[in-house]
Amino acid sequence: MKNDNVDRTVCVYPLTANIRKKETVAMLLAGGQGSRLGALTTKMAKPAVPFGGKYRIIDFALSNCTNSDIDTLGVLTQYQPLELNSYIANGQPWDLDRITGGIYVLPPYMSEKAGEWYKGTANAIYQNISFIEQFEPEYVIILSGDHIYKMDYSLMIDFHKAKNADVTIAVQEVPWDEASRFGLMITDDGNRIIDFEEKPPEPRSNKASMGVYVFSWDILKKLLIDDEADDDSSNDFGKNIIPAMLDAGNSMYAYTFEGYWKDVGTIESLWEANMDLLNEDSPLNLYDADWHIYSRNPVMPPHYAAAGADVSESMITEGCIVEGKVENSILFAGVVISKDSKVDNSVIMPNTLIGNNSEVYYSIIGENVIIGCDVVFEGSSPSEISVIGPGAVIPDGSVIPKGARLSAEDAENL
Amino acid sequence: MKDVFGLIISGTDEQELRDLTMIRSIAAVPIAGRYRVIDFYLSNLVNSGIHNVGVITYRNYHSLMDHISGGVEWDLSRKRDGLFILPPMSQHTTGSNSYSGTAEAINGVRNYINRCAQETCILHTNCSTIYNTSYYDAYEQHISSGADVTVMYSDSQHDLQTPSKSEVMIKTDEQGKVTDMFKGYTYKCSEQVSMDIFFINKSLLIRLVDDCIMKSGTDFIRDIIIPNLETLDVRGYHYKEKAFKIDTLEGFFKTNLAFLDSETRYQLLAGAGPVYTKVKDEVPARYSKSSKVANSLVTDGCFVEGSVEDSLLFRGVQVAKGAVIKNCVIMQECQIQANAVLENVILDKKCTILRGRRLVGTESYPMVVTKGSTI
Repeated sequence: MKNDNVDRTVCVYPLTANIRKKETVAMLLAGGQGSRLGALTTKMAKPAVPFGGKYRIIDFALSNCTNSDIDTLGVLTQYQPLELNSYIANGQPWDLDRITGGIYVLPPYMSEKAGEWYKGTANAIYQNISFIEQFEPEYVIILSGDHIYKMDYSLMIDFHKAKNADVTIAVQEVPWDEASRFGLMITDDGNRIIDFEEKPPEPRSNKASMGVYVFSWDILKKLLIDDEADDDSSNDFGKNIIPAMLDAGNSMYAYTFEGYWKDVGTIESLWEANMDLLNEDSPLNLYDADWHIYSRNPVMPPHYAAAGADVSESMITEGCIVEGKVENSILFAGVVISKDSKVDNSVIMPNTLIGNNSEVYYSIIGENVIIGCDVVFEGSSPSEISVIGPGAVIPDGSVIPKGARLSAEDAENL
Repeated sequence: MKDVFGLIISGTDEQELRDLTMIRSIAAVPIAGRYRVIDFYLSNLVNSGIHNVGVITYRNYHSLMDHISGGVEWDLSRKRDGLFILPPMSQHTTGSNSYSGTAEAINGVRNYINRCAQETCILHTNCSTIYNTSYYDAYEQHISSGADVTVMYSDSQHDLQTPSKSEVMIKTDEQGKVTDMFKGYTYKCSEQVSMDIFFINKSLLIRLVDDCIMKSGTDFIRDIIIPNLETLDVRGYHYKEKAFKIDTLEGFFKTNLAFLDSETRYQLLAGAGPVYTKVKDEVPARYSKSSKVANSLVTDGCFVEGSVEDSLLFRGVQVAKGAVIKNCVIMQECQIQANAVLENVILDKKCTILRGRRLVGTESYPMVVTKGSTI
């Protein structure tokens, strides 16, 4: 049937289509369980774990995006997404509530024939090709939601453009004796990647991948489709996509990042990264007015230090009430440290209460925990961090052995 | 409270806050560590389910605008209703760019009042009381008593050496009807102190303001309520929780320090609901090895190396080694350098106290340092 009645001279507003176009779209992988964080991640994904007094781990990647002028961002969730969903919501704290673009939480979904979980990091992006396509981007930056760092992604994208690369991988030069713990990029003098090794016993390079990739979208899209067609692939960037690009002779570059960067995948590294903030000249400067780290703030009063309080070398945030002694520790919002209690070298997450005359050493205490009176933690060194999972109730007089890992369920049997 | 809207007059000429209100209206004065006075007013309304709020600005309202902007933090950024900032110069009736009294202020925003879909107005004729309440109970009394006007009063004020000249006192009979009202007394003639919050039907409000302006009146209480006490049914609503007047320096100082008391703090900051404020994304407060802190409120962004006692530190205050702060209210981003000593002092924002300086005021007459000064 012909549409002869349509007036072809009528102008169709091109506005909506053009405005949607974005040079760069960020995709943030936030679906990981973070199983090495044990009790802390039984109810929430690793990126949602509280960090540094008033942040969550994901705040660093989100704030980096905002500060790098990237305003279109997909957050891929899968494991325990509730906490993350409600934390991100409309993205307002990070200025990511935008008319076009903004932040989108992208869980796995059902399609006409079948639905499936995200099988791997590459598959997660593959399943969201149509999300990315609506913005017709030139570049896609892949981020992970479990690192603590301040990085200007726009500089990396500039580098990617200047090198006319197909992919640019952010690397950090790590000490040689630790290099074998990382995925390493072997480069030529011009920073071009010529080989890649995953945790080699005899490292040939000390350039560790930070899990931050800038891809030219047309190239990545094709790679993802090819990868999906390969039944033997585990659909992972590190295991499949990057080796495939090496084989195909794509133009791949390493971008060296020199600031503070920490993977907080283990209890020890999470504790250390928190303690780094207490250092007088902390390598991670949170006071940088040009690079604010944003977070969703609870509305709470300033913290109150009572007449008998004794606070030193610590970070304390709003809503806390301190009646006891706090040394070399970080208290999150709404924490109460009662009279005659002592908190030393510990990280106490939001709304946790510590009763009278308890002693907490070298610990990470989750959110909404109640520690009764006269409880003693026996830890005495950074290698024996005790962990109490969110929501646990520790009865009066308990003794928590060093290096203990107690979930809320474990605590019921104390 | 679907049928209620809030109207806040954010400043008048009447406060005795010296340097604190020279650069801003009283509504924008920082208080209790991280708040501004208007946060209490907006939060009380929002916590009562009122989502249409007009704020009449006064003189230098830059600071106020900067703080409340679109009203997002109070959940007042809405498609229907929400927050309305009403500059007085938008009206041609007064001719000047501000108002000389509260009746004139209301007259200047009559278009807003007429356009409100709600019938009852909660009118705040100034922003000089700190309290935390929801208005459900008072509104219910206002409606069921059939009163023309209901005024909220409290009898739990500070014990001040000199009461404010602008304080309004009332007397009620056994039925709660207001029989007398005094403004401008310098001694206490009644224990019932008006909180300057009025429940009134909006068409009555417009009519009374019309009358008043015709007779060259300017002030809502002096020229509208007091002369009409016989003809109008004006009732008092007894607010039984704590309410603190901050329209004198002494009152302001004592109100801030009252937040150090756990019970008062809980009542004022969580009593009927949380007090919302603008979020600044400050880093948690940090303490060093040498820091000492006792009975104090410390806000995010502070860095404490010295000694702080019985005081409030607002956002981003730095207290260097050896500095001693006692019984002080230190506002945002002040720097107290090494070995300085401060007692009974209010530092406005961004002051710097140089090394070794000593500033001492008294409890009833605290020393006030103007914003941005270096001493």
